[in-house]
Amino acid sequence: MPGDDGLLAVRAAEGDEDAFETLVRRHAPGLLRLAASVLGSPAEAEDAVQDAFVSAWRRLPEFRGQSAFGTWMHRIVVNRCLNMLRSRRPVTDLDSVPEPEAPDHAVSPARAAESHAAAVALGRSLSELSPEQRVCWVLRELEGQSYETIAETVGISPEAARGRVFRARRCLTEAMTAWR
Amino acid sequence: MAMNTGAELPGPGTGPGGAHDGDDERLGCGRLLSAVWDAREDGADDLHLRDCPHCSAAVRQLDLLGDAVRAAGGGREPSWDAGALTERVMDVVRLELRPGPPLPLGEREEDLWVREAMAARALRAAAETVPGVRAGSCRIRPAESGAGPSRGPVRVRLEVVVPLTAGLRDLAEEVRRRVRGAADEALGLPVDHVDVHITDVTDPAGAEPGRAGAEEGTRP
Amino acid sequence: MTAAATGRDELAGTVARVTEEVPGVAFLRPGLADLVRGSARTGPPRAAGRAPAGVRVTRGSAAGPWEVDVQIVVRRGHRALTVARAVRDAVTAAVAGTAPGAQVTVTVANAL
Repeated sequence: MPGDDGLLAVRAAEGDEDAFETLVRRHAPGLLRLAASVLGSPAEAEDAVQDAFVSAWRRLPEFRGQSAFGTWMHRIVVNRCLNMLRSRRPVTDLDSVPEPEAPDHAVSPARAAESHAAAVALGRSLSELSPEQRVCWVLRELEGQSYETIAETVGISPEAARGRVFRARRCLTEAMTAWR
Repeated sequence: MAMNTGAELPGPGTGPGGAHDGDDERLGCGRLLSAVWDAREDGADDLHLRDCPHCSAAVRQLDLLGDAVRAAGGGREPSWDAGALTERVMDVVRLELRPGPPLPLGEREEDLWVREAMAARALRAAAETVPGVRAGSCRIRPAESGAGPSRGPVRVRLEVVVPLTAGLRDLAEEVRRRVRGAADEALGLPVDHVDVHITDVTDPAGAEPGRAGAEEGTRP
Repeated sequence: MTAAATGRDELAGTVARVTEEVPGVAFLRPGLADLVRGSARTGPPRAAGRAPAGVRVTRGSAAGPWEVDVQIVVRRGHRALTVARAVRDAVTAAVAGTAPGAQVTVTVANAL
């Protein structure tokens, strides 16, 4: 039950590694998904999340539960991903962008084919967004977070978060239009 | 293809258009693209969005992006091996344990000790043998103040979340009794005081926990 | 290696051996080097001829009594005090010949 995250975080802060292990097991899947979306690479996502958890263990004694443990972890992972994206060389290797899966059956075939082509374009143009745009866009579009939560996670104002998501969407729609 | 990768920070005073200014686009009908997309995202019931050719084209672009995101979404969740990741994290954590200060085991003249983190784990587990009780912070300190590790009995300060019952005082007493029992039977740690602090109560029916009004005081 | 150092290492080796045979002892508290070699869950394999981090043997002066510090991880379900006393008694008995009057300190570092 996620409701006892706070209790487990307090125990972990007091040196109970078993409590921390429960938290890691509980939050790892969601954080891996988030990091993979931001980084576009499962291997890098695992590195980012592992580093984030180790960093969290070290910082737990200072973690006073100002926010929920999950929110705090989100912030650490997002910052870790931002640093990794910023330290990347400008993307030249478009082949490294993974091909998207086949389209969903729920949409009509014609529209599905169209959106599959669009998905391919999406995967490529995502890697051309700035790290900040990409993070905000993933949090909004894939994680379904509010602009207020994104702002808190990334450490900017809600208006700035809204602006980055908008710019990301503009870049992506333009790129996809250009590809069709 | 033109990419607006330069303008990252909207910064203060971005003008009448707010944060979108500069990258925004005024559509043929006079509306701002950002406003149209916001309205679409908020599910605004606006006939103009449907009837205006400029706006409906803009909305369609956003919808196509949404479709592409969902189509690509299938590949977004490979079967993560969170177990392997957890093991790797814990391997590092075990190199950096925080066992806490040593606490005296047994008689005063003996030279036997137990680390606080381990003792706290045993006492929390004892508190949680009371049905519905969940334990949080557990600090164990020498009851006598003084420099260096003291050989005297210790004082336990335990925080618990308990189910909402009529007899909170009895419940706290039961927690205290089991913590004392475990300190003796599981550890062999002489205890002077056990302070049980109720930090929250949970509704057994499953409703949201509320703040506890009651807090148990110190009792030997 | 000096004779004194050899004596200390032999003493530490004896302490480690008898400690690990005490019921309820999972293993000696591993040090960094031990953990890097093995898993902290199952207990580290010990390098031959090296005392583990969980045993420290010191002496205030050449003629003074030995001070033996033992740090253990106990098995869950065993009473910490009972195991610690058994370790102290076993170690005290084992070193009585080579290090009479040795002061033995036992710390239970963890349980698993």
